[in-house]
Amino acid sequence: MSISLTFALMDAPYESSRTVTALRLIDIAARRGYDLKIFAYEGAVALAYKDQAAHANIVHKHDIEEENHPLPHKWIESLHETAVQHKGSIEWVNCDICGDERGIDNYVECTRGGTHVDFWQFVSSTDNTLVIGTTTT
Amino acid sequence: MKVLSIISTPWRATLEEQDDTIIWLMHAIADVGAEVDVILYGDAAGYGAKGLDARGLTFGQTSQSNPPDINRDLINFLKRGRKVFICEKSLSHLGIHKDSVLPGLELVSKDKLVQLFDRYDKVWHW
Amino acid sequence: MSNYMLILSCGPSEGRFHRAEEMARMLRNQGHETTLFLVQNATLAARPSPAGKPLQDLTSQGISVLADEFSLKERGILPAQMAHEISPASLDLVVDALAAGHKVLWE
Repeated sequence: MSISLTFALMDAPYESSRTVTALRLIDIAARRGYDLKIFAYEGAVALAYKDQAAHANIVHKHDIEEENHPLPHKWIESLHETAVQHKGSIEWVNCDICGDERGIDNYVECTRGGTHVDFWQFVSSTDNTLVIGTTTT
Repeated sequence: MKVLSIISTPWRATLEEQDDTIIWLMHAIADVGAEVDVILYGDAAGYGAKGLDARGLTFGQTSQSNPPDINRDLINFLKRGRKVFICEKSLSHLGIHKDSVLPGLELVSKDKLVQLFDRYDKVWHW
Repeated sequence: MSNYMLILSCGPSEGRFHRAEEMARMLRNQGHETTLFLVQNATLAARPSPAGKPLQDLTSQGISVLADEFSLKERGILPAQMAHEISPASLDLVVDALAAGHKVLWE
């Protein structure tokens, strides 16, 4: 039986290095074919926001193509594909009320909205959970 | 108006942003005429070490093609004629030897920090 | 006795850094297998330094202190420049610990 893990994320995109470390952990687990449950809470709901857009960088003197600015929602889609390729899965839930507060509801299709009930079901049904809290005070 | 920017929160989302947003902002305002210098303080003294290498980040099939290069961005800031100071005490606290520091950065001892601040009209702590 | 892994991501100048060190010591004193895994700015403590000394001291109490290879490289810290008490490690070890059912806490 495949190993299953839950990750709880809290930090918004472009705010904390925890986001990239969290996604690196998810990448490792996805390549192992694990079944992964992600609960994006508070600012982390914006990670899956589909309207994130790349931009040029005037300081780097890069146009939009050269800069190839990272978009977390693209990373999430890529992680989802990797999990499927390795016969695992990623179920990614964005906290609905957190999205409501922030006016965010346009998520990439490989994620969905949900509630604290999803979080508890994830924790209860998986082998282990890592909570990645926020440093923002 | 002369401004000194204290940077003390390094590597905050630099992989997502592909640079340090404060160093980026100092470059950008220097471009439009700001007389702004920078001091690396606390953990940010780590930016002064040579050989920072953020290459190799990959998520699924997506690899980062343009990773942050903080050393480059600091050297380019110096090339604008701006100054980058670095707190000597912060360096020694992190075990970074002076010979590992990027050329052109100016070391400032902790007891000279206030005198440095006094040379500027504004001091910003990011 | 349980297996604990504490992930420490904040730099030596931040308050959480010392709380994690204290928690690792408390867990070990209760007889738990304890690993402190440094990521992001916490790896700034990997050089022999006053900042890293408290972490280096933990190893004498039987606590393993590991540092994420990517975070080290990102900060220009080569393995040869590290304190010998701290070992470079792949982030895979964190996933291994989770898969093995260890208690993994992010400080």
